[in-house]
Amino acid sequence: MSKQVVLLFLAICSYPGLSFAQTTCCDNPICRDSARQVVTSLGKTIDFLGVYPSGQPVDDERKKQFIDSLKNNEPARYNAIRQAAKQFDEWGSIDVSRRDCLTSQFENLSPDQRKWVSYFITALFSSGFRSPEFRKGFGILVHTGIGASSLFTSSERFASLSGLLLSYTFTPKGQNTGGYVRAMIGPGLYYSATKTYLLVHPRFEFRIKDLGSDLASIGCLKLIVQGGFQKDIQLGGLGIGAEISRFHLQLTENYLFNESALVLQFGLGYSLAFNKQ
Amino acid sequence: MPTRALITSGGGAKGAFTVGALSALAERGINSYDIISGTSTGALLSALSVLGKFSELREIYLSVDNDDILTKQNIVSNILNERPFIYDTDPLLQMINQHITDDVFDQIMASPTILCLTAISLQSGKITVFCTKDIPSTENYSVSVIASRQRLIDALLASSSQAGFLKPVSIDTGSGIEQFVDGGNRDVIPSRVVTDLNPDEIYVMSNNPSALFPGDADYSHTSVLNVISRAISIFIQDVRENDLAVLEDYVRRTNRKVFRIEPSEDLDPAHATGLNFNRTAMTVWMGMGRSEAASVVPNRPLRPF
Repeated sequence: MSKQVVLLFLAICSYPGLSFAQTTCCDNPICRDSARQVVTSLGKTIDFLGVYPSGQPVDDERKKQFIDSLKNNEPARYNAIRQAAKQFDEWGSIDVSRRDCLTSQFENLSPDQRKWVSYFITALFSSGFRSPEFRKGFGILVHTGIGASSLFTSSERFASLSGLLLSYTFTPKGQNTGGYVRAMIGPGLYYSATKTYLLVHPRFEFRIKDLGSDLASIGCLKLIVQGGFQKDIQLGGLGIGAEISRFHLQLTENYLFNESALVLQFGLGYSLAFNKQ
Repeated sequence: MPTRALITSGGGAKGAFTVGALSALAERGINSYDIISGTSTGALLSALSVLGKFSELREIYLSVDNDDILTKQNIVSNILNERPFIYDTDPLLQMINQHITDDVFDQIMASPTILCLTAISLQSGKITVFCTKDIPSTENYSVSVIASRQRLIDALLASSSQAGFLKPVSIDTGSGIEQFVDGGNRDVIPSRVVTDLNPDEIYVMSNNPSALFPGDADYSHTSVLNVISRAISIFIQDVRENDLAVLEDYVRRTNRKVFRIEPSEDLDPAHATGLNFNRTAMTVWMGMGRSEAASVVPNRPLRPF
């Protein structure tokens, strides 16, 4: 009989829909005690701050100044707060049930301690958004650049490189945006000294920094690695680019292997994505 | 039987405070309401509050991150493509769909609780209250009855779509398709629909303190976003004060009980609209909500009281 009861209990506990409700951290005395310790330790580290003054500096700049001054004048106490806050974050990050149990332990803190805890936690932990740049999937890039080879020398010549490239942007698993790598290939045209060459034109782009603010993005900066190949001419280049929505600006330095010459080019581009922008 | 109402305010991630407060009340036997009126994040959590699903609410508010709710957009692309928002709400819509199932919708509709969700029509500029029961419209708001799961989902999304930041929601209320945005534009604490129904006691959950937090010392040399953020805080404060005035007038007229549960300090002044879904911060705010509710309503008896 008792075996049946145990089996029934295990069956109920293992039912997925009941996992949060039935096996909460706070139902386990050891887990609950740990939660209380984590919260009260955090409370103790900020106890020296005393009464939370009404109108405490809350804007980012003055909050930073306050925390910096604490860091410089009371490094031991500042580090203790930081350590306790980190412990709070890490202990709770194991599962939702632990975080839920932490919330029930705040009644062990005084009102002033709670306000100081909120003050420091919001200063030390903040979530950003995933970058909207480098969206996953296929697209097409049309670009053209003009410049000169062997700049500032007697053999200086006008040079241009254009391309119509099929691209694919890779993103981290489970994400549609925020990729770092884009691979491209397509036909390219290189023009120099009245000659035009049709090339196989591969290119890789690497997102290095987003442009904009925490609120909104306007584009990104990227590193460009490209090449152009056919039997009479081979080039390889490095550059930087800015991508604002579908518009691209780029500055590249290409090396002509057959002429041993450098080609500096400034270019523009326009891209089309095959999926939702 | 005395009637009990719940008002849940806006505040984005700061809604964790309300979830904590509701849980603390539920632990003290206050776990059902005859009327629930919510705006924005308060609307989102009010739907599950009808069914007393406070454990599920805690799980949601303790496990979401920014990207689970919103998708940051390229603002230039949105301007060029005439998309009037900064963040896409597709993840939030998915989450609403996941929790408001057919079964949950049926339970909400079968519940005796009147659920009201406040949104603003961009066309008329007026308050529309989407309700699960047919209650009369007034000069302050028009009522649209929720008759389908899709309408409930639309109303939840509309009530929480902060204008300019999030995508307006198109709803056909019978007089043509209109776009609706966050009810907090006119009703941060949606009180009127509640006081018009004359409850005996009202629990007001606000995720912001009653006083506006102090601003910077100098706004003459700062970022435009800083000034806009401050202006939004001042605007929200004005709307909040008007809403609280409705409740104060109600208490004066009827001598009924109103319990206000709110933080004494701003939980996240750097994010005026509450778009900062950080799990660690939300854990703290939920804990503060629990504690605050416990201090406001320390030993409430079970119904009938």
